[in-house]
Amino acid sequence: MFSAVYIEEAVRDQAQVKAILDRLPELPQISIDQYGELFNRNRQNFRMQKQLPSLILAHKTGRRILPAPSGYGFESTRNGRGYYFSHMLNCIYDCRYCFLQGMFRSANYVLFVNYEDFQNDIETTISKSPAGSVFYSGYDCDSLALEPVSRFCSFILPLFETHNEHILEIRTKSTQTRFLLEREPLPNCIVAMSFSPKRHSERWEHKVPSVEKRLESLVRLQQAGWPVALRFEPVIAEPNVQRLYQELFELVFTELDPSCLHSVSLGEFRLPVDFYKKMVRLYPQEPLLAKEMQSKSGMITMANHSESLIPELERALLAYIKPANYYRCA
Amino acid sequence: MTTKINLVVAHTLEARPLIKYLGLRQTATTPPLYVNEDGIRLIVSGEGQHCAWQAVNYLAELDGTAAIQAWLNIGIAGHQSMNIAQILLANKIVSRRSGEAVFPTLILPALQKFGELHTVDEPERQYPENVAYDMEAFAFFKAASAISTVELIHCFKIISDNKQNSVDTLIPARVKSLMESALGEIREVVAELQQLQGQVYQWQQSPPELEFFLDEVHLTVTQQTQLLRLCQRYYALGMKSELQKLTCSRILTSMDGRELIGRLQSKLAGPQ
Ligand code: SF4
Repeated sequence: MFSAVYIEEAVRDQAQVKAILDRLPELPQISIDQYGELFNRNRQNFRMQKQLPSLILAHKTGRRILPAPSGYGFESTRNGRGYYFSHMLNCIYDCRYCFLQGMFRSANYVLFVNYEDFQNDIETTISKSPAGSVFYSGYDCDSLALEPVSRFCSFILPLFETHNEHILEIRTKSTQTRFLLEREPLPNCIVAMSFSPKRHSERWEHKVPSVEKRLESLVRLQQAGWPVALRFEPVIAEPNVQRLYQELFELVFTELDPSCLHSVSLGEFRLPVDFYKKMVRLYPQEPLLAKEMQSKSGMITMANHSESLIPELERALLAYIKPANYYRCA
Repeated sequence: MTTKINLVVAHTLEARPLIKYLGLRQTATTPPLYVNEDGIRLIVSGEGQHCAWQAVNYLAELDGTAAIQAWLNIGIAGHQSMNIAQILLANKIVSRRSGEAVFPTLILPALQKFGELHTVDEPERQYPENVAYDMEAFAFFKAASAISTVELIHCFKIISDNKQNSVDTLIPARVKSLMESALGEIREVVAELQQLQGQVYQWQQSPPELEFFLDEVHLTVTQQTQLLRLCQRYYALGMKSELQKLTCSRILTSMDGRELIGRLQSKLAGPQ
């Protein structure tokens, strides 16, 4: 899974780090001063590194909890504020549309091990926020994919047990949900699973568990009493995509009980222009990135699809769920 | 675009077994430079960081930016505890002079023998830390990483001396036999570098039609960049034959750069 573990000298003796290293006994360990000297250096090739990435254990300084970009989530429907945090940078999966490829120079995984600082910062933020505020985990990573190594979500859950007026969204494409099934569900912790039509997933979501496997995990969580949510994004426009989504909705809503879903969202394929350009340089032969795009206000979206695509998909979706449970992700 | 594997070796004694093994022939004497048909070349840099730095820059200048360059520094090193003739690929290189560290990427899976390497200015006789000691690697890595992507830069060391076997007892015949004992592993590392380099080459390769258009139509630098991307997109979207058709078309000779780009763009504007 990793070629080596790099460890910032300053965190080497932390209990968290020792526990993580115990879970990775075979790997070469290399000490570093600051993760940036490795992660942010010039002249790295993200695509090459993605073949054999390393894990970097580091201390997260600066702001750990940030306001969520407007339209990212559902907080406005709860009269709360939205925040996001990332205990990791990068993801063990390799979705060809993923913005992380355009954002970071390195494909190595940075795991921030000062979990207590995240916990304290969330508490401080909670103390200044109205009830119903939402904390989104997994913005610069997948929340659960590395949970067996990091145990970050296991660590952070009890905090939301004591602050049940606020919401934690664990956004993921991972099936690493055993730790959740082994404990009592929390009504204010939502597991939000992202889905694309099967054909898109097979083409572009490399190393990601299949749609069926993800669905199976989500069904088990729902049956165990966890609030679950569906994130249908990014919607990649192409001829007949409506039919692919129709099939996906049918599959998903046959397995899950739509009446007790926390929320469902749809979001278009969008990328900051600079990220898109970098992704094109990394994957010049990738058909997805070769499609006709349009740029507006610094963002790239797909051209050539009718304005009505998202409304059509929304209509199809609303045949299964209540409008109150739906939001469009900006 | 071509590919080159550059081997930087400090001493002729270390280089000789490699020159023979890889079938390299000499093409220059100052500095001594050897090449073979597989795009491998070896330079004898001389001892010390300055020489290693100069050797890397000398090789880089031979091709400008026209080659995807991979770099391998090969040589003997001391170590506090490793046995003589053991080998390592550096995963961290520290300059004793400045304390600065650099990190070769662990992307060559065949050889799972990694270790820390300290670059010193004088031969190390005390071996104060449990690491390897050499006299070139840090400068080599710094110079090469100003030219190539870091994944293609590595340092391979063969342990020649340690606490029990001082560097002062090292004789030329021993250096030769140490190098010979590691030739198989060096070959493996070179093969892995070639494979990685081949990938990068394939990723960066321009569709052949690009050359054709560049010869036929006058284009500004911006238009050349646009044209490259358009050709890549035709290939990526399975529309290669349309691109080929255009290269055979007689209207091409009457087109200017703007028309050519406009024509290629308009065909891509439909739904895909
Ligand atoms: S799962 Fe999410 S974070 Fe991971 S590669 Fe895919 S899009 Fe990126």
